[in-house]
Amino acid sequence: MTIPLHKVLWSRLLAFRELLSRRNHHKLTDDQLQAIRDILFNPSPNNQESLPEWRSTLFEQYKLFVEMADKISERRHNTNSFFLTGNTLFITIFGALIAFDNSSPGRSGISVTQLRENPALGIIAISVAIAGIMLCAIWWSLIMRYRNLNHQKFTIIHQLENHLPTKPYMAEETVPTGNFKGLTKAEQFTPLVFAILYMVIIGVLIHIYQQSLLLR
Amino acid sequence: MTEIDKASLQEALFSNRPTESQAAQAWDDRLAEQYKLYVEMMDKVSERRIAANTLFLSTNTGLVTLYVAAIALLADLNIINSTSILNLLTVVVGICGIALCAFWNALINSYRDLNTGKFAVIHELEEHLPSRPYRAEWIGMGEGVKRTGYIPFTHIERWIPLVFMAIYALVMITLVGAFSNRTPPVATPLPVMIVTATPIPPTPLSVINPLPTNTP
Repeated sequence: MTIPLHKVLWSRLLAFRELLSRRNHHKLTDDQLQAIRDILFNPSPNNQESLPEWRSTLFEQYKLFVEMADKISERRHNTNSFFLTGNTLFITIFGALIAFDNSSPGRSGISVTQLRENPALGIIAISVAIAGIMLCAIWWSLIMRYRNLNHQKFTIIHQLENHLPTKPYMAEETVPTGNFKGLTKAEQFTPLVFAILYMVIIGVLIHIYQQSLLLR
Repeated sequence: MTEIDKASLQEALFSNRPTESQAAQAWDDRLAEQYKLYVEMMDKVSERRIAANTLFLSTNTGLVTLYVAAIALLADLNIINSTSILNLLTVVVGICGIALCAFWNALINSYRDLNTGKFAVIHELEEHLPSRPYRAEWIGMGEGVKRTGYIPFTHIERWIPLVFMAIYALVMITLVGAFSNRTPPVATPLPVMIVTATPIPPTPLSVINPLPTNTP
């Protein structure tokens, strides 16, 4: 199944706008909660003797779902380290480019004279930086996606807890969690920091390139 | 991705529920156990997808490192000036990288299809359980319809190999162009034996290897 590229890009743009407008989407109205409950629960049995069975199976489902929510958080961590490695690779490429033509003495890195002699190095460096920015965009959208998914999972967990002896996750919401919320916010900004780094590199390269054109 | 036929899926999935109440109870219990196992396995598939991503990233890193090391080695052996060797190396590494990324992309797509199938089965199983958390989550996220803020992970991850592929193609073309266009540095001429028609008069031995005239 192939989707035309412009449609893909357009839907990404719309999704992005949606994400931005959904900042406070965790405040659900009663109608929305009722809609979630309607989807979430199958009708409970009418006869009394099968009700304990129903409850215990529900509890098993709750256990499983909480475990899976935890795994999603774990996977978000793995994703972060994956992209950190990817960005490290790109920065290594910059290092290799700087060392690239160093075999002959008296030359250093991507300098003005070197770019004049060998503009290919500059083109490669800029394209690597642009790819780095794209990688950061993918990273950012994955983080947002994980956040959204976990939000959804906890909404469902809260609803399941209504049928259980205690409601730990629901109760947790009422306790001030200090800086933890800020931590996930900080996580969001990591790709942004990398993207800014790449932009600075592109700026410097363009500056050097202009200088080399002046010398020509 | 093909549309999943619900009726045939249900027919393939469920055995007949026994009519006798005790056997039916056992049937329900086992269904819950199967559901738990199946959800865990679905999660493992996602985990393995992340592991595969990491593996491919490492392989790409290895390939780039190999290329840089090969260039450094060529420079050390003083055959960096051979344009054909440089071009061959660049094209081989570039094509390897592009093939690797194509394979990576295909793998992500097949993981996506696999999980689509698994989720369809999970949704069906949940109809026979007290609650339907995965179905509720799926509907809460907009049923996979784009423009609702829901972007499946695999749809985002698909872009990672594409970015790498673009980098390989661009760097390959740029480097081959640069290697072909550059003026090879002037090599020190090797001693050449000149054969002429007129024989060169033999040099007296004393000129080549003069005898010591004054020995102390």
